[in-house]
Amino acid sequence: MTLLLRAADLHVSYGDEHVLKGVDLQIASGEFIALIGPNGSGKTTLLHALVGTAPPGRGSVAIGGHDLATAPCQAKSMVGCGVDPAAFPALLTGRECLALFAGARGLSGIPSTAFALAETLSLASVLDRRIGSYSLGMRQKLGILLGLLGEPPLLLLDEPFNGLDPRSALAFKQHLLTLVAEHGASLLLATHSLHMAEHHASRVVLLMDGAVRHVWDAAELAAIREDPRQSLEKAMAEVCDL
Amino acid sequence: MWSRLLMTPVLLLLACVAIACGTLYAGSGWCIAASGVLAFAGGQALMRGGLTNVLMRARFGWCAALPADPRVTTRVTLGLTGVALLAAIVAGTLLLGLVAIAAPHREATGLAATALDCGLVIGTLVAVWLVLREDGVVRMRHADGIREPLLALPWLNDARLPHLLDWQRRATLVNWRRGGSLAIVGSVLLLVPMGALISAVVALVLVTASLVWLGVAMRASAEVTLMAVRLLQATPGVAGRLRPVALRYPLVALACALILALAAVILVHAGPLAVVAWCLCAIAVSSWPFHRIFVATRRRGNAS
Repeated sequence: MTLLLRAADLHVSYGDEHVLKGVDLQIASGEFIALIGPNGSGKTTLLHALVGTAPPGRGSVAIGGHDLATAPCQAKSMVGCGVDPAAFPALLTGRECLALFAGARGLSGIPSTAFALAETLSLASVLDRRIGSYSLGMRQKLGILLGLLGEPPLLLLDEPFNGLDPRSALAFKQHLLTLVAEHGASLLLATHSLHMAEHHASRVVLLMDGAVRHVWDAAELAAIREDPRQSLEKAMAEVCDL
Repeated sequence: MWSRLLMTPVLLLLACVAIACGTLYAGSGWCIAASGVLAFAGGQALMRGGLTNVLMRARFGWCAALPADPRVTTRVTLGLTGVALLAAIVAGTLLLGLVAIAAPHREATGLAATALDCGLVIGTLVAVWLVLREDGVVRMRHADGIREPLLALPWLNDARLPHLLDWQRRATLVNWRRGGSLAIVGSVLLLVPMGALISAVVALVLVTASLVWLGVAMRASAEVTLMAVRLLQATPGVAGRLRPVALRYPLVALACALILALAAVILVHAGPLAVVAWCLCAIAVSSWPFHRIFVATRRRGNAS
């Protein structure tokens, strides 16, 4: 498999607070990596650092062979990341926001796949409403649509299931798994859902205190799945107690 | 609210224009009235906008669910308003003193300063009264829902970042409706002496309205640009494309305001000095927002 993302010795600080302390991460194409860890462990900051939106720090990130510091345009064109619902423009409609992002990504218009996903997530009917009138769940769905716009090869999603109704959450989970399994997309998913990580991820990375504490590879995850007495939750607890 | 205090120099420039035009009406009484009424209108508009923003955040923002006594919130807001008023009075008086050096009716500077300060105080009191009325904030909240302009200009949108201009235009409209800016235009009408030609009245309204609207459009455009930068920072190639797109609406606004001002100049057959005075006011209104847009959209590193 081709190496799609390589992050080496990532350090990020907010003032005196060192949030990331030398994180190394590699993602191959077609990989589904679940990023787990307690609150404040640095998951969101890591995702920001991987797309260059975190405060400048030490370390390097290369996406598709393009260095994020020296060729950010080429590197960012290969990444789709979920958008914080709080940052949405309340004065634009969902469709207008999609068009704005499509323009920013260099697309000629909103791709048909975005409308198909909007239908799947039951968001199509409200796309012409102002975002200011959206509920939390609708904003979350729009954030997902924006992140997946143009189906970039690498997806970075931060708790995308938050606020979704069960039906939409199931539909979106199946959509993600299809993207990974059939379209060869790579997915880095920051999540607290250990069930999702245990049953669907090809690798699970545990982040604690700004550093990678443990990695479960595909073989270890398969062993956990096969043993009815084992679970990722127990395995994580054991690692945390070390 | 503090950023709105930057409007004080603009207000003073308007007063300066009024003083410079004083000879037209052959008397300094008009100049003093100009200072007072413009300060009243400006103070009312600025404080009303700032207070509304603060109280709307308190009533509908994330902190609205906190168990805070609304009376305490109101008291703190009023305290901040008082501090802002004091700062405006000090800044206004100092700037008027500087302006007076070149004013034709220098003997009236003291009275003009008094009128300016009184105007600011009364304008602030009126703003406080308007906002704290039982449903003042709630009515503002509902007014936000009406955002469609009478004249839509879809062809102005840039295909590279579609709808950014719509975002700026709608934000301008919302801020215009929130800030009580029309009060300034209305107050200018009060300054017109008896027997003035209708063309002079129309010209005065055109000049004032163009500058006030330009200020609102510039500030709203800068705010939206900052938000767009944060929103789109993870997307590729935005650093290079955002600046020309973000500047499009402010430049169109500037051109429209200039057309209005030129119409006013033609109406009263004013000389080039009037155009220069208007341009100085426009620069005062636009320079800070333009600076914010340029800083927000500057390329970082080798971003392309």
